[in-house]
Amino acid sequence: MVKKLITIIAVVVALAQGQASALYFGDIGTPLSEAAFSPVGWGPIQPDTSGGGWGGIAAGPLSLDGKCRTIWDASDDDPSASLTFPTSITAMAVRHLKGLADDSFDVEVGVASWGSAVDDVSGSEVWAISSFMGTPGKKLTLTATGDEWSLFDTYGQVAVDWVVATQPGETLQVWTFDDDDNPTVPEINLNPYGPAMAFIGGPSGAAPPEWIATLVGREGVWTGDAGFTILLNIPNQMVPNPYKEICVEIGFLGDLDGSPDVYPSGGVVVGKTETVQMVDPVTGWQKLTASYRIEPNPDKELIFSYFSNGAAVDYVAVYTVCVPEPLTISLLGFGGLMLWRRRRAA
Amino acid sequence: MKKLVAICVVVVLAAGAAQAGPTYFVDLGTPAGEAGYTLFDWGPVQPSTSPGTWGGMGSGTAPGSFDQLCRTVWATPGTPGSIMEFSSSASVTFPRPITSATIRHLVGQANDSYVSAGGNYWGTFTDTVGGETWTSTTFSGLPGKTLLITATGQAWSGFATYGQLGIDWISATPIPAPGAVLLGSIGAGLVGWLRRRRSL
Repeated sequence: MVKKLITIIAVVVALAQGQASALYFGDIGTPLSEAAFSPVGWGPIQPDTSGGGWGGIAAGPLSLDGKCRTIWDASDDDPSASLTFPTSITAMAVRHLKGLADDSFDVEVGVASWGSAVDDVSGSEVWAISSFMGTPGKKLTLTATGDEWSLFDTYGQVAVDWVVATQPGETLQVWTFDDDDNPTVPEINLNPYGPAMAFIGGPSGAAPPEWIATLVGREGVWTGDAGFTILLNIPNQMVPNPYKEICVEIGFLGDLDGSPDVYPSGGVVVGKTETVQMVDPVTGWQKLTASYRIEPNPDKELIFSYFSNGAAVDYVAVYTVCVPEPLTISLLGFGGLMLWRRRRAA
Repeated sequence: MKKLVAICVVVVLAAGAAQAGPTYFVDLGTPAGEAGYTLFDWGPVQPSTSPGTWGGMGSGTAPGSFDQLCRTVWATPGTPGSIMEFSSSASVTFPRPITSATIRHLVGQANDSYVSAGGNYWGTFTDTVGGETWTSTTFSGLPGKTLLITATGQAWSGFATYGQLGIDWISATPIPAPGAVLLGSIGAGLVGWLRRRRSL
């Protein structure tokens, strides 16, 4: 699960910085990124402050800055830390360290509980990505729930690398195919409008698609000797909006068997762009990037992508946004401009 | 000589036309009839799963049916024998894009209305509700590899047992293969060239 996730985090960041996206991305440990989200109660930047391996964060491909902070540290008695977003968020994913301590924590947005992450205290150090959703709100609070561990005074507890969050109308789902479940839910699941699901199927009567643990440097891939199709079911915000934007990225090896098709439950696909880029000429891994515009926004859409005999798929990432009335867009754009100006001024 | 050239032209054009086929035929409910096509979101094989009349299929007398078996577009998710059933839609992905499809469907006691799409919206069939009649309806539109059929009526009283919108078979016309287009173009060009030379 190494190289694939380099690309996926790049996708998330690209989406967060793209014009079509309003995703919030807070890179904890990088002051410029954190500043947009009014951080309160976080420990010092790590590993800079205390040294240590921190789960290999400096070398880990999923960390953009190789830095993190803990939500609980010796400088205060409060086991919580918070971020406050400019507008309400509907779902969020957090990359956190399941380390040697009990790094369990609760997630609260506003006054609503969004759930918990439970650390089994296995004695290893593993970075995990957990997704949460619930009643929308602006203030995200993470609270450590485990007992202080033996080196708490030195290192603190519950390290966080980054947080990505969606606003109303947005969804983000990333399938990394960590196991052979079929159908399968996305490993990063930020869709508050219903259960996003991927189905992998091949021609009837032929050998079914096969999940492989490792293939040409990537972990967790689907392949098929008879060709195969991946069907994605993406529920949407069921509120009328003028249009919807969809961004798809697929990491694959081999050949596509035609362009992906988007089937909206209503409306018409009016815009479509697609590019295929060779990511690694040595191994042959490529990525397909596609975007679609549907007018007006449907309640859901199905996305079919087709792969030739012997092709393999490493990951699929889908970002969608139902775009509201122009006035609201202008306000959002204005808000973004103000943030940018504040950052520049800082 | 002219006659020989004309025969050659006809042969070339005929070969091009022949390459445009064959028509795809998906006989739902029969493994051999479904082989080669990718199916998502279909209910179980009927009437074998939920015995009943099924427009005569239950007694093996449904007109126009080859195997007297069908599947429903919509069934309760997780019904044994279904193919990844999760919604009121069902799809067939063909080896190549299709331009039209004829669907043999049961106009049954439920509101078996549906929409047929092949990458783009192709049309709608509206059930008058009542009786049980197998009907063939043809749709066409912009080419697409996947034919998506969506039941648009409300779930009927017997939905939990029988599902909704039975499909017996689907016949579809693929776009001509690239080789056929090339061959046809060569043939057409040859005809034009011969006509300009006034030798045909």
